[in-house]
Amino acid sequence: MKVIVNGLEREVNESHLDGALKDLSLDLSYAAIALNGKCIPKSQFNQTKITEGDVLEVLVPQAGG
Amino acid sequence: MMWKLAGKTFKSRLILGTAQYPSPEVLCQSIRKSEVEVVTVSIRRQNPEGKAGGAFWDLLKKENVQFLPNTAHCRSAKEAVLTAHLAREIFDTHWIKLEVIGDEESLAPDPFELVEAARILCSEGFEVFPYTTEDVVTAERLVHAGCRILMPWASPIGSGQGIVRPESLARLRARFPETTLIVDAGIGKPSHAAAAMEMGFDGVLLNTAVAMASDPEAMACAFSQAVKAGRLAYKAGLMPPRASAVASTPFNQTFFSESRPQ
Repeated sequence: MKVIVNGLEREVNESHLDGALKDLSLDLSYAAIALNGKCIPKSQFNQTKITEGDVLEVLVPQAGG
Repeated sequence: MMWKLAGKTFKSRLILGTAQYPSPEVLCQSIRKSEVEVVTVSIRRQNPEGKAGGAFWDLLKKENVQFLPNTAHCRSAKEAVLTAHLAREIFDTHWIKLEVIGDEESLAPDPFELVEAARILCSEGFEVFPYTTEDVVTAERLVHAGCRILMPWASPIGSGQGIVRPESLARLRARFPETTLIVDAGIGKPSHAAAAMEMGFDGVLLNTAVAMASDPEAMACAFSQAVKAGRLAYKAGLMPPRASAVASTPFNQTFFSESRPQ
């Protein structure tokens, strides 16, 4: 199914967030995920369902003032 | 002298931003040499290649410092609250430097959205460090929302203008004697930082003045010493200004004291 990841259309096969993130081959060691505008804690990745057209944001650390 | 910030004990009263340095190595050296213990960080979208944080984060995470994530560029309470939630996941801290920008030109905060975001985040257990102005009404609302710390600006972010309204900042200090007040934004020189500390502020947060210096490591040290000097001067008790000159050397026992009227 098609989902939007950080503004780009991507294809994932898994219907749960943890599987979908593996499909995307992202380094999640220091990342946080927002699904459709809501932060999803890591502990809930395997219970969170993904559907066609969902919007995922994958955020990582950066320098800031 | 140790002090408490949001329940944690620190030695340094200088908080340093981590952006705009020539390299991550220079940033880390600046942190070490200035003995800063709290640094601000931010979050961004991950690159499509998928590396988390890059060289910046690989180095910074090894420093023994408290991270204070920010909500930079947020324009609404909704954006700021989501950013705070994401930052908590990444940095494993409930501390958040709350920035909600209301005007793109001055980067002044939006007081309405700021207070709303502070109310939500405080109720969720965050330790909120709101970037605000010297406006006492906004400050009062933020304290009411649950903020134990306020971070009034000295002048607009990145301007380096220093304290442009000292009377207003002094009034804020006087009105909130029990609240931790950290001057954030607009500090351009060590003397600006010292002036803020002399006024009785609890700390100073800055970034650009160090990062953009020709020698950031030396400038970080200069700011560190200025903050210490300002605090020491405040504790020592500054003399009140006088309207006219008063000679410091005694006049009475000079050989010409009798022949000249005072």
